[in-house]
This record gives sequence, structure tokens and C-alpha cells, in this order.
Amino acid sequence: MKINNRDIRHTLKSSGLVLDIGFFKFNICSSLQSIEETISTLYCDYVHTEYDNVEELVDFHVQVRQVKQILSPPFFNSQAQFFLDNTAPFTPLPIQHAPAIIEWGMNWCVSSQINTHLIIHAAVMEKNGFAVVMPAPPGSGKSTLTASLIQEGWRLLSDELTLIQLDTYQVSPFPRPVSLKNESISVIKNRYPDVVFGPVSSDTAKGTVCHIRPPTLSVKNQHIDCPIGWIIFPKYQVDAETEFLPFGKAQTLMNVAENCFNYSVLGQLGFDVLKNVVDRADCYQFKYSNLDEAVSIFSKLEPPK
Amino acid sequence: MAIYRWISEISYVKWGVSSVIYNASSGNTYLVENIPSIMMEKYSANCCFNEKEIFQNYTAIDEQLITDSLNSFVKMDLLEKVED
Repeated sequence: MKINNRDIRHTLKSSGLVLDIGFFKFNICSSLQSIEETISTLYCDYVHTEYDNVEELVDFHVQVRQVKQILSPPFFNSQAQFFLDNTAPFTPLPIQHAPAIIEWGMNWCVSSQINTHLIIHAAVMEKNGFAVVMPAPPGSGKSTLTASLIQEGWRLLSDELTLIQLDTYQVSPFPRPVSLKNESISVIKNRYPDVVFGPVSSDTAKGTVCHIRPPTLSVKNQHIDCPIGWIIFPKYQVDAETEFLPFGKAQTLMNVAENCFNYSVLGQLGFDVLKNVVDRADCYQFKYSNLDEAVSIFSKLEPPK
Repeated sequence: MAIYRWISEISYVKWGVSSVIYNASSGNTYLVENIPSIMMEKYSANCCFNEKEIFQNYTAIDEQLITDSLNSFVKMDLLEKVED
């Protein structure tokens, strides 16, 4: 059941709003207007349910609360803090960062609490029945590339967390708003004027952060799993010539393992899953500075042999 | 010439000249290059690793490569020397 925007404020402030996101259900509570704005702008295509009406179990009960330090002076700006099950795993941040706080917090819930999947810090998208996994450190242009590709027909499975099933090695989608930072925000705004942006969080530890709404079709198909066809390590480099080169599978396995949240927790099973995933995928390293060329190269990817 | 024994449970995968070895006892993962297949076959057979016997039976194998691989495996806590 979807609820309309008018009800979102009331529901967020009372029992909480349940969002059905891929494999998980989040119950979200907050009285902050910026969170209401985030939900109504970025999550309008998801199934919203009032917590009181949920028959199934909720995986994560999260809140973003306004907090004030007891000894802080009156002029001290209030802060916002993320809670999971009424426990605050992080220190509070300036209240204007609330839209980023909830996104980071929801990522943390899955990356730190879930071991039903092998979880890679990587963007993942699907086209023609195969997923491309893009593990990359911050600053590599992963999210900018992801934001572009999902406007070019790729299905967003996740911008941050690739969830791989332990038995089938397929990706369980977890499509969420795509996080853009600093210059990437204007790059995507200029390139795709119809993209819907959520509230901006300025002066965060990562600079200016803003999320974009996932494509409606990606949300609609969020329960359709997908086999992995390609593992690509992207690297944005100013003025670089586009380079798309095969990458060794052994080194790919090592690099992906380093980007996993729970590889060591899963132990032998984690290795076995990764071994199978890498074995079936075509692996590449990709350097780019021109988004048009990047989009073109991705559009020509051949299904893995 | 020494005899070694495996001291860890391992899994591995080989692509071309590169192998990735997972040491289930420690949880560590290693990327190794140019490991002679015989070494992994000996692990599969759950054997001790007799350097002398290998050199006698597999004359085509580069002895230095075997010695280097053995040293690497010892450093990775996969093998230990039991007899010199």
C-alpha cells in the first residue's frame, strides 16, 4: 500500500513509516522536516506502509532525532543523530546534514548487520539480464558513472552495497537514492535536467552531498535478482584517455575481497562465493574522464562467455 | 632437502599463472604467482611434501621455483618444516 505525501509527516512522527527496499524493510521515524522532504522526494516510488499496519517483520527500526548537547551554549546549533533500535552508533552531526545522515545510517544497518549475503562496497547495475559490479574507493567516480548509466537505461541494483546471495551467487537488488558529492552534483544536473534531487547536505565530512531519486523502473523491479556478468574497477581521472582493459581474475578476487564488508565474517563461505562470482564474470579496469565515452563503452559490453 | 607438512586447511583457485589461496585456519587470503601445480596437487592428496621426492619424480620442474614456493608457503603459515 502506498500512502500519500500528506500522510508521510504524520506517520514519520508517530509509529513510523515502513519502506520496502529490496530484501529489507526499514521502519523510519523522524520529526525533522528535512527527513520528511527526503522521503517524499526520493522514496516516492517505494511501497510506504504505516508501521501499525505491517504484518511482516521489520528488519531495521531507525530514527533520525534532533539532539542537543546538555552543556552546549544557547547559541549552539542543534544536531541530528541516527538511531538503530534506540541505540546511537554514531556521534551527532549538524542538523542540516540530516538527509545524508539517514542515507549513511541505512547503509550502515545493512553493511554491519547482515550476513545472509556477501556484501561488497560497490555499485551494481543490470542490463540485458546481467549485472555489472563496480567496486571502487571514494573519489573514483563510481557514483557519477552510476548516476549516468541509470539515466541511460541501466537498472539500478545499488549505488553502494552489492548484495550477493550465498547459494546462487546472484545479486539481490537494494536500489536506493544515488549519492553524489561536490562537482558530481552539477555534472549530473547539467547532463540530465530531469533527474530529481533530494535535499542538499553542505559542509559534511565528504563535502556537499546530495542524493538523486532512483529510476521508477529500478524500484518497481527491486525484487528481481540478477546474475553477475562483469566486474569493473572504474577510475575517474581528469583529462585521462579512456582505457578499458581486461583485469586478471586473481587480482580481481583480491580487490573485491578488500572491498567486502563481511568476507572475513563469512570465512570459507565468503571465499567460495567470491571464487564462483569472479570465475563467471568478465573482469576489467576502466579509466575515464569523458562520461559520453564511458556510457558508450558500457553499452557495448558483451555478455560473459 | 626437507620434508614439510601442511598445517592449515586451505582452499584455492587457479587462473592461468595466478592462484588465490584461502587459509581457512587463519582466514587470510593470498595471491601467489607461478606456483607449480604439483604443490596444490600434493595438498589435495593431503600429503606431506617431500622436497627430495618431488625433485626425483618431477625432473621437469624448476627446483628453484619449488624452493621459492615452499618458502612462501611457510611464510603464509600453510606449511611447516618437519625434517631437514
